[in-house]
Amino acid sequence: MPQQSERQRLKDVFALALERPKEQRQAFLSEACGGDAGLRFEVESLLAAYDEPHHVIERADFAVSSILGAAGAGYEGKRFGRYRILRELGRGGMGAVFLAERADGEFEQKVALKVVRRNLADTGLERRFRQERQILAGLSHENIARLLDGGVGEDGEPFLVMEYVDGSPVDDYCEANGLSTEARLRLFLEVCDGVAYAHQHLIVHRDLKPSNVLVTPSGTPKLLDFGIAKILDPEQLGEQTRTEHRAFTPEYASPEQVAGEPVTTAADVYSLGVLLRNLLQAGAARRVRRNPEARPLGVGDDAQTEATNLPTRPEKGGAWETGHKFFGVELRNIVAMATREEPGRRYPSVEQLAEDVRRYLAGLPIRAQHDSLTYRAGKFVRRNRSAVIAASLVVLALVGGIAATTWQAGVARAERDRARAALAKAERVSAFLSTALSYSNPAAAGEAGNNRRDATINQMLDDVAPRVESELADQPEVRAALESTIGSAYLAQTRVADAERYLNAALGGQLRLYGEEHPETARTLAALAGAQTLRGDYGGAAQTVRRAIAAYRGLRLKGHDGLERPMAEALALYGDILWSRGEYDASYAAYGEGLTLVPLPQAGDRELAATMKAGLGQSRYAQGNLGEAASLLREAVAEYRGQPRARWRLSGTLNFLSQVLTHRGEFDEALAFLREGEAVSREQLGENSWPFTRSLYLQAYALCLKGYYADAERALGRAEGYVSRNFPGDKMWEANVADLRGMVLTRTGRAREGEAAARRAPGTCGRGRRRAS
Amino acid sequence: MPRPEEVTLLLNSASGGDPAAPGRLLELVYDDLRRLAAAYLKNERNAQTLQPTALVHEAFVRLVDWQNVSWQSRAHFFAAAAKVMRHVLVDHARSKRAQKRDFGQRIALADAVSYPSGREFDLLALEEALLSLERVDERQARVVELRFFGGLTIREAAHVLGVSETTVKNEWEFAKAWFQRELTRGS
Repeated sequence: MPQQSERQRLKDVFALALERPKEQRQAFLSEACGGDAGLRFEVESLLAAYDEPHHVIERADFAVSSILGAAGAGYEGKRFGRYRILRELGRGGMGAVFLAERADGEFEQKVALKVVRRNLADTGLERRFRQERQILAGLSHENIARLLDGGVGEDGEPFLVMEYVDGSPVDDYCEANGLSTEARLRLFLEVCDGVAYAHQHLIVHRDLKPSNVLVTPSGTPKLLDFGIAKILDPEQLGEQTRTEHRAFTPEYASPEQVAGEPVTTAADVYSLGVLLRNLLQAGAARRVRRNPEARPLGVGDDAQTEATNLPTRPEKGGAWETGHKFFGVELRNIVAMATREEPGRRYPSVEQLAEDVRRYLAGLPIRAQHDSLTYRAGKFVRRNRSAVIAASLVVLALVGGIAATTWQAGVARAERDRARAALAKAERVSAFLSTALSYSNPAAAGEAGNNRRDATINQMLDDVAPRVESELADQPEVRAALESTIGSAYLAQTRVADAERYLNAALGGQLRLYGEEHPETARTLAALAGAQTLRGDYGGAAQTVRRAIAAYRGLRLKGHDGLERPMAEALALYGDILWSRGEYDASYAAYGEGLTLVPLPQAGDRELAATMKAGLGQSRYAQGNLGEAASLLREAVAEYRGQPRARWRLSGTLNFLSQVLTHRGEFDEALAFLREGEAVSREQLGENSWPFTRSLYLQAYALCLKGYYADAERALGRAEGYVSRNFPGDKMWEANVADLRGMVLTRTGRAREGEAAARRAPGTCGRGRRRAS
Repeated sequence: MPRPEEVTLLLNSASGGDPAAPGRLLELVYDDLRRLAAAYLKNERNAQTLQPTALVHEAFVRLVDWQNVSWQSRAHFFAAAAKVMRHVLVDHARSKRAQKRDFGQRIALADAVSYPSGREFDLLALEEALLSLERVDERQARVVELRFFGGLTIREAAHVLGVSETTVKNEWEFAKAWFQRELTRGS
């Protein structure tokens, strides 16, 4: 059949022509076609059609086996360029990964060969691929799996060849090896190193997640699939609404990625933040899992909640997730800053994120400050106020004492008069202070009274403070004592900078005069630790208060009396700091030691004892021991109830106790305590105070978990009113409110609204993240 | 709906070389595939972004106990399904064109099946070209049918047709060029 052989010849010539490089085609065709012009015309027109950029028919979605999920049948032994497939390693949204080796036997090394799933219309894939390969091949770093090669297989399947990493995903690795928080952080720092290096080379990963961070048996993390997401993200394809086109994992994807907006290095910062949170959480969650009573709750500590301590929700058909996210406030702050909604508000670079983690490990102040001054003041200053009363009276006594001494020395009448006047004045001021400051309850005189009193104290301090340096230059002991007292007074007014200035001055003097092991020095150290805490320097505060405690211990060993109370207070402060840093075992120990010191049965001591118990209860809660936490907190509440002067402390403790009870599912009791707490804080601290708003919020929360959604919404609405009035722009409150609203909406079947609400919650690290659909 | 075991058995025997198996297999699954395809196409959105092979995969998952099936057997299934797919799609395109004619609309881009990229694709023109190719070069036409409608790899197609992979590759490359020329002529 002449036609058949003609056609066969056409096909043969065509096939051979394709094998030749383009430049040589003409020459080849002349030779192969001889004088057959018709044949040559046919072949040339076919070649021209073949050379067109887009083919009308292309093979549709290939890699059938990868879609169906069966073992890479059909791929074993298959050749891809210079490599031969050995077996399948895994499969993901972007394709399948195989273990492969060099087919030509050139190198022994096994490699990972990733076959990329290409979708029908993605015609520019190979071109982009080639461009990116150049850049990626240049990435050479300890923590990055190298891209070795790539190409297009015979079926038109693009493939990548990478360094084969025999390791496990970083989260599994941490769990399997039971790594401590510090070890996890150090591992995380190595990951950051890799990412930072790539950023320097202008490569953004875009798909950072645990399965892309493998840790070798020797403990080295290696990043995979760097820049792959970019290769596979065809800009040509306008909107990508189909799931399989998505080249990232929802939880780890930054908001701008989900929205399809341009992606920068900030997206990687976000993903690293989520990774950090999950690495830290896994450890914390494990603690709670051991406790069979625990129900899901991630609500924060006594008076306030940091944004990332969010309530959890049931997942996958009712199975509760242990959502106890208790790790220290500084780490929470770091996570929050890395995972801010707006890219511009995150860490500007991965290096800065890593730097903050390093600073945290070194006990230095970190850059991320998510918890506000109000929060810290509420937490730490209250305790100091009672110390300030005594201290202020000491000031006056000293002033009066100077005058008295001068007077007693029998000086000239004029000076005697002056001295008497000074003493009288001192006595008047002393009397004023006694009445005004005799309550440790700051709300005793009502709010207007508060402001007036505060104004008066501030005025006094500002008047007296500058004079100390000049007027007492020749009396270093008195000067140091006064500076210390003034510093404490400033601290009580939350004027942190002024407080630290004077406390540091006092400390300098006292160290010179007495050395570290001295009651005065210790007192100043404790106050200074308080100031550092207010500033947010938890690491520094911990170091300072430890010095104070050590000094007290030494003094007591030497037989010094009467130091139990100041040492106990220092231990209480230490416990607070440790709790904030997430070191719950240590905080429990600190409170416990403090409790043993508290001498009973004076009223003031019982208040201190109750405070210790509250601290112990909070520590137990964070350790996951809900039963003990509840009973300790109940004891604290009972103590506070019996002391009118300590009533203001009651609200915070009631809030926390209710939280524990809610966590145990004892909703009714929790709500009863919260209603009491609401009344107490309204009475003691006013409706604009943090504990008051907090008790409203917690009521909403308990009601939601109890299933009383309408009531919960009402309570949440009330809380929101106070939040917007008193704490506008406070990210923590915003996050809590939004997240709880989201939960209520979701549970009442208004899921779409719920997701939108939760997504609005700032810094939620993806907990409110849902796929844009 | 045939029992999965039946289909699996047939697939395996087809793979084992039983010449009658593919035909019986086709009979068995034809109706179901048509039904599946029809249901799939009823959804307007699906019809807009049609991917033939996705549909075949769906069918495969439902009809076959595919965990226990070798890739060779799967290849046979897809080969059979490719035919069905082709018929279904062409029928659908024809009926759409008829509708458009009835409403007096221009046929310029009639019966176009659009792909995710938004490129319009004239399926009926492809079908005509494929029919004429079948008359002239049956094996090459079969390769096109297998790969375009069935989504088979070169290796799978080679197995089904009983030829070498190189042969399949050559046929495919030629066909691409040929269709390119045929379908863009005059445009």
